[in-house]
Parts: sequence; structure tokens; C-alpha cells
Amino acid sequence: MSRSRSFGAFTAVGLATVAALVLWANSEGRRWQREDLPRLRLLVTRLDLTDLALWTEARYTRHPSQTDLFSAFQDFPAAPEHFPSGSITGPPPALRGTGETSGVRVGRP
Amino acid sequence: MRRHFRILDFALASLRRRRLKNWAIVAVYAFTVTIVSSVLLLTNAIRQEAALLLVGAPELTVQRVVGGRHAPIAVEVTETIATLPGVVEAQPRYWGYTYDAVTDSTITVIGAGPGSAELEMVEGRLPEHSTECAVGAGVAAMWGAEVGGEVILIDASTTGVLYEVVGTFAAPSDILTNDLVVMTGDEAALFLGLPEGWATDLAVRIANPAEVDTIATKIKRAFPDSRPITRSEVLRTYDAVFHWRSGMMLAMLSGGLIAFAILAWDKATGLSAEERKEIGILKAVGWDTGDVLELKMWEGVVISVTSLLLGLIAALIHVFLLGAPLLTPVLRGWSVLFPELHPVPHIDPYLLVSIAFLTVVPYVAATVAPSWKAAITDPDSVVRG
Amino acid sequence: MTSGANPLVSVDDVTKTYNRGAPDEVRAVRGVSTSVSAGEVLVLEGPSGSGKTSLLTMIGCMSRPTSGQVAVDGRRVSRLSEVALTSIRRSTFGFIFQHLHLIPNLSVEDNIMIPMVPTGLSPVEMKQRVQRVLAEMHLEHRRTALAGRISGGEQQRTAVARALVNRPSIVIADEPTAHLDSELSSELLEIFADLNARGTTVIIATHDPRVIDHPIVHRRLLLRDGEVVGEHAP
Repeated sequence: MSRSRSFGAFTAVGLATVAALVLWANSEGRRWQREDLPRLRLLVTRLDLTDLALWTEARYTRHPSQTDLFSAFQDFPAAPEHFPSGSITGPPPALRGTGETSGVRVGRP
Repeated sequence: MRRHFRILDFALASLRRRRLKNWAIVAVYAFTVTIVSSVLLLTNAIRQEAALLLVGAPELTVQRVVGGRHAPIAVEVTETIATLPGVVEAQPRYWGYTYDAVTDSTITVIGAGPGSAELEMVEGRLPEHSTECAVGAGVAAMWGAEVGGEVILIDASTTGVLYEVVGTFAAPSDILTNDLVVMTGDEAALFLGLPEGWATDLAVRIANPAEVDTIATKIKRAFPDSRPITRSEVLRTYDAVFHWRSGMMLAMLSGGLIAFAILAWDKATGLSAEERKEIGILKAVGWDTGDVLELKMWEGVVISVTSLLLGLIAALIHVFLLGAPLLTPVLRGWSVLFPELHPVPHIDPYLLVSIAFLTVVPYVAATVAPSWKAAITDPDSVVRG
Repeated sequence: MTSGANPLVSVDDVTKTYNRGAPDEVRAVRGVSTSVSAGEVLVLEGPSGSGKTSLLTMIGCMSRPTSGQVAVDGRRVSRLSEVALTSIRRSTFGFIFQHLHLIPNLSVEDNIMIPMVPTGLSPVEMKQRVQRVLAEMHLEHRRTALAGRISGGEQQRTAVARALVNRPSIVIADEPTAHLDSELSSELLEIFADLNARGTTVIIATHDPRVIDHPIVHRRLLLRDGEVVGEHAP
């Protein structure tokens, strides 16, 4: 087999693999749309959810669609503010205490 | 036609000489393609997932804004809104956050309105009493809680409150429910410190999507301190967020991308004396300029197409079979409760074509262009030394 | 001038000037006229810098004359396009260079194939031709060896094999014996004699007496400073 044919064969196998992966992935996507999506939408409707539970570090990341657009500080004390300053400066150590040191009482009076 | 295959044959023989070097270039190039494609495939998939899921969200959420702050809204406002023509239903939403100092994470507390406690995506059921809750997979894992277990959460008056777990959310819903603690509506209001008769915001259901904007305007007019957020704004937010996130990931990777660009540039443009001499030999024994440039083009095509295919295959496997483990740390940021990603495949052919185009064309150009000068010189230069 | 009625190559008042107009202008060839008939063995003789290599490259369609005419097989090459010139070079000439100019990290076989690549022959035909010239040059056992890893004599024969693979009617050699010992030189001259016996025209530029005085040479053109100063037909 000449070298160009080997390369052609490699390219064909590669393309076929990509095509197979894409077809498989898209069929998975369709299966999800058919089976999971209706149930998940029901959940969204039932709980009136508006956002994805991806980033929990701050109001504006947990509910990006709901946040008031003016807040500079967030609820999570360890949360940095806007990128990239927050990735350079850490939160003060006093804010990173555990339950014992944060003065929390257990039990509602 | 056959001529092109013979030149390709020769290009392959020529590349084979520096096998190690060329495979190293392919490895680095393929890795770069993998990362860039992974970022694009993943953010595209999540964006699509958000768009499909959030179709179930309320057509309008109505917040109250006081002094630029998101403030509680009076529940009685729902009565006025419900009378607006086109509105199907207006319900108060009770939700907020609590910081759990034990696990160093922020948890989202949501009050479930009245309705059936059974839900397909919940193992167990939704809470029916004030001492019960249903938790997302992330919270359950953090507390080691199963159905029947207990969690202690810190309420708005910094008091620990004990809840019995009566339901956990199933894995497919992770992306929606991972950090949730669902309580009854009344308990959530109490937990979040909302005064009686006040809610976090209002969810408004509207029958005809065409009326949403009109109704939002009417609400805004009736309650000037309100901020109605339409569902299309929510969807647009997610579109923007993932563009921003993928842009940020690519920015963080730009060091690598630039390093690769330098490598490729150096490799492709640094026409060594040896290569120049080779081109001279080819011309002297009967190749014309076009043949030499075609050879260089094939060399670029072989390297870049090989890298493209390997990179794409790796990216598809990485994102859709393995759940993008290489990208999760970048994507999660400072998030403590980050869901396991099972991105639902959504592959845009346009995306693949643009990746292919951006991979192959610049590399081939960078390979061919520098050979141009050597290729057009008279072949006798090689004879005269 | 000794030439047949229809010379294979005719050179008419050819000059070649490098770096024209620049301070380092070199007038390498100054008004040379000659012709080569089919089946001839011609030697261009002269010290280095006499213009023999420049003349050789113009005859071999590697470069165009600054003025004057070169015709190969009756076709004037001075005005031809690069592609046409290359095609004539490929089909008519086989080149053996002073420094051989093999690609050292390619196999002997791949080196020999180089001139055939742009012709678009079928792989089978290419293999057959390579096989044939390898056999002629006694190189079959070195087919897959890297050209840089074989002996000097084998490299020399590989270069000749590459020159012959397109079945040229004219073989052009530039100082072919400059780096060879006596044994290899006479081996190479035997090969030239053999080629010539089968009708191939051979043009050699050299100042090596072993070549100049060899019985296969039909005619010698003496060059000094880019001009023909003498001609001998032994």
C-alpha cells in the first residue's frame, strides 16, 4: 500500500470515528430530550426554577438571571468579587471560620 | 491527478524522516485542538441544555428593587397581577441562601408552593411539613444525608434548625438541583427571615408568550418599584454567561495557545538551510515551483488534518463520555457545590466546520508561505553551491 | 564547429551575467556558441570560474541565458515558461551534481524516485523503473538504506541512478569525479561509456585529467573566463 493510501485510510477512519461519535452524541441528546427533558421541565415548573445550579459562590452567579444588577458584594463570605481581582486576593481568614468559631447557636428559642 | 498522490507520497516520506519531531508537533497540536474544542462543545452543550430546560421557568418573575437592592415584595401584589388579562397565575416565591460554615458552602433554600408532593425526579417526596426538606445531590453528599436522614441549617437569625430529609433529587436533575434545599413555602419564609406577607419575588405564568412584554409593562406601571424579568431575558442571560465563560476559559488557555502558535510559526516558517537546499535539489531534478509548493501544502495538510482528527475525537470523548474532567476546575471557579457534569450532547455542525477551518488553514498557510521564496529561486543556485 | 545537421542542443552567442548592474556583477559566460549532437560525449574543460558550470546549467534548462539563444531538440528554451522549461528538464536531462545532492535522510529508493514524482507515473511503473536503475547500478541491496548511510561509491551510483530514472536523452554531469578516488572515477567513467554506447548524450564539465584524457570523450571545449578558447576532437 502506498503512503498516500495509508494516509487516506487514516483520514477516512478518523472521519468515520468523528462521524460515529457525533451521531452517537446527537442520538444521546435526542434520547435526553425525549426521556429526561419533559420530567426536568416539570421540575422546573413545579419549583419555579429560573437558573442552573452551577455556581454557588455568589448571588449573581447562582441566579444570574435574577440578581439585581448593582450588587458588588455577595452572600458567601469566601466569595471573591469580580474576575480577575478575586482570583488574586483571597478572603480574610476571619471569614473562613467553621461552625464553632462563627458564634452560631443551635436550636430556635 | 496521479501526480498529486505521488507528491503526497513524497510528502509523507519526507515527514517520516523527522518522525519524532513531527509526532511531537501533532501531539501538541492535537492537545490544543482538544482543549479548544472541549471548551466550545461543553459551553455549547450547557447553553443548549439551559435553553431547553428553562422553557419551564415562569414567563415572568417580578422583583422589588429598593435603593438598588433586591428587596422582599408584598404577597398581596399577586392579587393585582392575577387580575391582569392574560395572566394565568401569580404565585409568591420564597427563596434565598444560607451559608453553611461547616462545609464552607452556600446552599440555596427554596420554598415549594402547594401542589403534589410526588415528582418524578425526586427519590422520596417533596416536604409537606415544616420540619421536612428535600435536598439536591450536592447537599446530600456534603451532609452524607439520605432519605430519612437529617440536616442542620443556619437560618436568618443565625440559629441552627434541624430538618428531616424526605426526598433527594435524582442525578439527571443535578444541573438544576445540586445545591437545593427545598422546604415548604411557609417554612422557607420563616427560615429566610421574610416578614409575614412578604415574599422573595413573584412568579407569573402567562398563557400567550406574545403578551409577556405587555404584561411586564403593565406590572411595571402599576408597581413602579418592581422589576419584571421575562423568561427570554433569563435565556439570554445564559447565552451570555456561557459565551463569557468560554471566553474566559479560552483566555486562561491563551498562554498555551500562544505558545503553540509560536511553536507552529517557528516550525513552519523557520526554513532551515537544509530545507532550502532540499527545495533546490527538487527544483534541479525537475520539480517546478508549483510542485514544491504542493509538497509543502501536503506536509501542512498531513500534520494539521492528523491533529484535527485526533483532537476532535479526544474532545468528543472528553466532553461527552467523560464529563469534561479537564475543564471542570476552570468552569467551577470558586463554587463549592459544583454539580457533576453530564453535558447533554448538542453538536452544531457549523462549530465542527469552523474548528476544522481554523485548525487546517492557518497551519497550511504557515507551512507554504515561507517556502515560497525558496521555491521560486532558479534551480541552478543549488548547482553553483 | 563540429555539429550534425540537426544538433540536439544548440547554443548561440550565449552570455550569462549574475548580479547585473550591481558592484559585484559577474559575467560568467561571454558569448559562447556551440552545438551538441545526439550520441556525443562532450567535455567542458576549464579551471574553476571559467564559466563551465554556468554554461552547463543553461544547456540543462536550469537557468536562462542573459542574452543569446539555447535550443534543445529545436525548441528555443529562452522564452519558455517555467513550467515548460521544467518539463523539458525533467524529460530530456539527467543531472549528476558535483556534491551529488542526495537527500541524506531519505532512502536510496525515495531519492531515486524524486524526479519521477511530478510526472504522475503510476506507483507500479515507478517501482519498475527504480528496480531497473537499481539493478543497472548494482544497488538492489541498498534500496531501503538511507542515502546518508551508504558508502561514497554507492552514493555516487545512487546519484547516477536518480539521473537516469526518467530515461533522459542527455546526461549532464558537473565535476562528477571531483570527490572520487581513481577507482570510483574509472567506475563512473565506465558507466558513462555504457550509457553512451546505448545512445545517451553525455555532457561533462570538469578539469580532471582522468576524465579529459579518457577515450570515451568525443570532443572537448576549452573555456577561460567565460569564453571558448579552444576545441579538441581527439
